[in-house]
Amino acid sequence: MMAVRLVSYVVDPYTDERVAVAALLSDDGRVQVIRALDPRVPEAAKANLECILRDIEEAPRMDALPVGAGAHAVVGAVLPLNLSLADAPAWVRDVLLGRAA
Amino acid sequence: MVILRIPAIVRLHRVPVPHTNEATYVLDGAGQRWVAKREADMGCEALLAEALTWLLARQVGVPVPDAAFCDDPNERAWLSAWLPHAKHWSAGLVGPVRNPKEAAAILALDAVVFNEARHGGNLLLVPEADGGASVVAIDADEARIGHPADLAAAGLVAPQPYILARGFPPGDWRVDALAAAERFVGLSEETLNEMVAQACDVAREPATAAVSTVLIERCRAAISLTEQYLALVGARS
Repeated sequence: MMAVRLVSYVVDPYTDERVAVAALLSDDGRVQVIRALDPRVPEAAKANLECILRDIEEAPRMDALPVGAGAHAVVGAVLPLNLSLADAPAWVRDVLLGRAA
Repeated sequence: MVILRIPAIVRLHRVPVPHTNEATYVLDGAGQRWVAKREADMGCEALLAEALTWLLARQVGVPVPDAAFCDDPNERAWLSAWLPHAKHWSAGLVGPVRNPKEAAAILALDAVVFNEARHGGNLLLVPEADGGASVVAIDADEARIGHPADLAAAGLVAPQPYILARGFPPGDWRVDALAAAERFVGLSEETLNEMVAQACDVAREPATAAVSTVLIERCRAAISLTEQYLALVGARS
């Protein structure tokens, strides 16, 4: 069973403003990171977001984000995904992240 | 250098990263954003370590966020200014460190206050648009200067870099670290006593003289301590 988990960037932890920026997609233990095409984060956050995504992509895991990602990155619940693997990355990017962003 | 006193804070929610001591996002009455750690959670020794290390850091130019102390008797919390869009240190940092001279001073500071907890969660990176990042030191609650009797008994030894952040420092920062150590050596007894008095007041530590004695001794030996520490850091596999 495939599963997906949204990764959000917490723009402002004091108001809990957050933007979905990527998703972790797992299939039979293999995890890949799907980036949102154009996440709507403030300009000041873009360099940090890029570093965070590179950290996550270095060794993607479903259970937790790397410690280096810091407090601006959070993951949502694990959601089961009933799609074929060939369709899943595009669906996650275009539909799930497209709507979330 | 004076530790700002904040009379009241409003707690929002906890910072969602692993901490030795619970950290919480809080606001003060003026809307200033802070990350708070309560004395009730971390102990008065850790509060002394935070306050004294912050004063020293500011005095010698170590990059640390603004700080304050909330002296509401129901809170009693060390406050560190929230830095927007900062992440924790990671060895895979892409791009150069923009403040290597200041960041190298972290090594001298840790040698003086005997801080072995400079892991990746206690180093912030503030990434910049061109791919580089500035390094900022946070969280000194585990520095052994908060336990002055233990530190005095240990003698003039450097901390062990068992859990020093992997890949830190990212270059040969020896010259700049030793330059910072010289600044510690140059701190007058009067300046150090003033810092100790202030930090002990925040932490309600009565043994002011003992704290002063060990701090003055370690500052006078800052070059040797930093040399020792750099050797240990360099010997890491």
